[in-house]
Amino acid sequence: MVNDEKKKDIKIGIILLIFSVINYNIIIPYYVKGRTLSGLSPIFFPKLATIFLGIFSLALILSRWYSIRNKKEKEDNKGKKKEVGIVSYRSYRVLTTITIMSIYLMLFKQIGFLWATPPMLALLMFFFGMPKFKRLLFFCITTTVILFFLFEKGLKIPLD
Amino acid sequence: MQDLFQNILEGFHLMLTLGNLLAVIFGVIFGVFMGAVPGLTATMGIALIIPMTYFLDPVTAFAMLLGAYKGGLFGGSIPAILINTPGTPAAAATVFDGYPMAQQGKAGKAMGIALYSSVIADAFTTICLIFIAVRLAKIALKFGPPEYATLIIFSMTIVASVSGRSLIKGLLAATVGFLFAIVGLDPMLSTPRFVFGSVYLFDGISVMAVMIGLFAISEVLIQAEQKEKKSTTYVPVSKGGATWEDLKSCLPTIARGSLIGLAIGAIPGIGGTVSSFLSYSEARRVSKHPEKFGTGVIQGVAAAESGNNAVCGGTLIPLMALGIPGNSTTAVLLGAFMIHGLSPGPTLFKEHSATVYGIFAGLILANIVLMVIGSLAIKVFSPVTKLPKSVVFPITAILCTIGTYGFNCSYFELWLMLLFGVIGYLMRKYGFPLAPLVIGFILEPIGERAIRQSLILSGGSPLIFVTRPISALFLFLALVSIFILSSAIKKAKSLN
Repeated sequence: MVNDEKKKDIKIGIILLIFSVINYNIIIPYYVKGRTLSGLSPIFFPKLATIFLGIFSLALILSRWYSIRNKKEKEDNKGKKKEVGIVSYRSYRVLTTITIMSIYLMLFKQIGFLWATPPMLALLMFFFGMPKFKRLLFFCITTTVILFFLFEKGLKIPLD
Repeated sequence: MQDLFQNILEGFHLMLTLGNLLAVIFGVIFGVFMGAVPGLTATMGIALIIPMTYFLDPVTAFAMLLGAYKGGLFGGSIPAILINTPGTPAAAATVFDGYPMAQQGKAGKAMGIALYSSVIADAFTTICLIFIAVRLAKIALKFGPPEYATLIIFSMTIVASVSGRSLIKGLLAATVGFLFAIVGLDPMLSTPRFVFGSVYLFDGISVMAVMIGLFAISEVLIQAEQKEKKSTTYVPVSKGGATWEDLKSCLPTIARGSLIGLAIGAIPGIGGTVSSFLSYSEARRVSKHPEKFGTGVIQGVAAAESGNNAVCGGTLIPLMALGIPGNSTTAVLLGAFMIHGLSPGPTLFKEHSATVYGIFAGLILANIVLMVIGSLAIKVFSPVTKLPKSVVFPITAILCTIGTYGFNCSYFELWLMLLFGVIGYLMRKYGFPLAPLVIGFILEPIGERAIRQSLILSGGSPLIFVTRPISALFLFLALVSIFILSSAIKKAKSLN
């Protein structure tokens, strides 16, 4: 299992290394304007950070690769399969939460806080495992109304 | 000296009226509320109540405003401890040990020590403000771009302290934070960098969207992984608050945090976030068990909160003694001074001596009121730990959305918040620490501007960083810090 983590680190290291190469060669030349009058150019720090990103990514890859090579650990294949199952179930739940929040952010802009919040709050509460419908309804309505009056009327933040 | 005590007594005489006391209480309550709601800050709180002070006399007005400032600084620690969400950016370091303490059923203890640390640090800097404001402000004025630059370089060594198990991952996270901070218009020439044609990115990425996304939304996503089987509390119910023994064990940490906060606060433009991280890093460095930091160590909370709150008195030093606002909150306060016909600076102490010492008395009164209101706030907010996670986290998500929106009234920042929530979630899943990213994000703009200004001043020669005594001192401290850290890492490796 320790080796699994290290392999994941290697994969992330490779992704970050590729990103740093793309950032240095493609993104920075196109999206950072580099004119200068005196002192350092605006392009200097983006390039410096990207070089460091590349170096640290490489260091992560090499250190994990070296570590795996030195410690050859036996892995329990059954355990590994079970973990994959849990991960996919968890990923599904996380992706659903992100989708609900994305829909909420869209509705927030389109129809305003007062109308977008109760259904989305209810959906999130149900998804998180709220068992009782009456309690769900109570929290949704009271939270929305309290927050609306507090922010819209009290703090004068336009929510509609 | 006798004159000073006479002035202070006169100040108290001016301050101690029922109306002023009510103004302080209102200010502190409002400040705690503003700090406790993620996305709302003490600065916004002060800006909101300034119109209410138009018709008050200056002493009452500043009693209310400074009460809100102090309340806001403490209030940020409440959601940081209870729901892993810093209420204000300066409370980010409180999350590291505050939230693990809450998860261990010690939320009351964590909030208690946060309050005591805040009040003690605040009282210390208020006394410093009264006695050594003018002298300290003159020293702080010696800070030019090279000093800022080397202070930031020294502060970057914090990354090693908050990187957790893997220093490389911490450095990677800090570098990514650096890159995110570069987004927006160049600080010197205003040329666009990484804005991809979007006008929304011209001002850069909002610090509030980053903080709330990384800490709060990522926590919501982590909690969403598993459906609640039955209506259980998301953390064990808190038992008891901070005791005298807890406070005693934290006093050296609070003293260090207070000094760091005072020094950082007195230097314009650095702020509470850097101070709380520095204080946390220092507490970890001198601890006999640095490896336990981040797992729910009470000194971790004390360090972060004392470093954060000590900034209050510190930032008022350059403001009142020289008329220089050190951060956005004191910039708003400078406006309030002008509205009330006072111009901060050396003449303020001569021309409006009674008012100034009345304000100082108000600061001390606000400190006492904060102790009382803070204790009540802990009792009010503690029941959050009794709520099931199916209530806490959906409401947290909504609160974060409204808080992020309220910060700049921008829908775009809501999407940034969600994006950083996903980034934070992935980082936590793959064992990358969040704190270095936040540190990189906060320090980069100050550091880059200072380095580039220094090089313009020196005509491109980097020798400017070593020829000025204060900047040379910071570089030396950075080298010492790196040396100590590397030997500590070697020691830990050999022990493993």
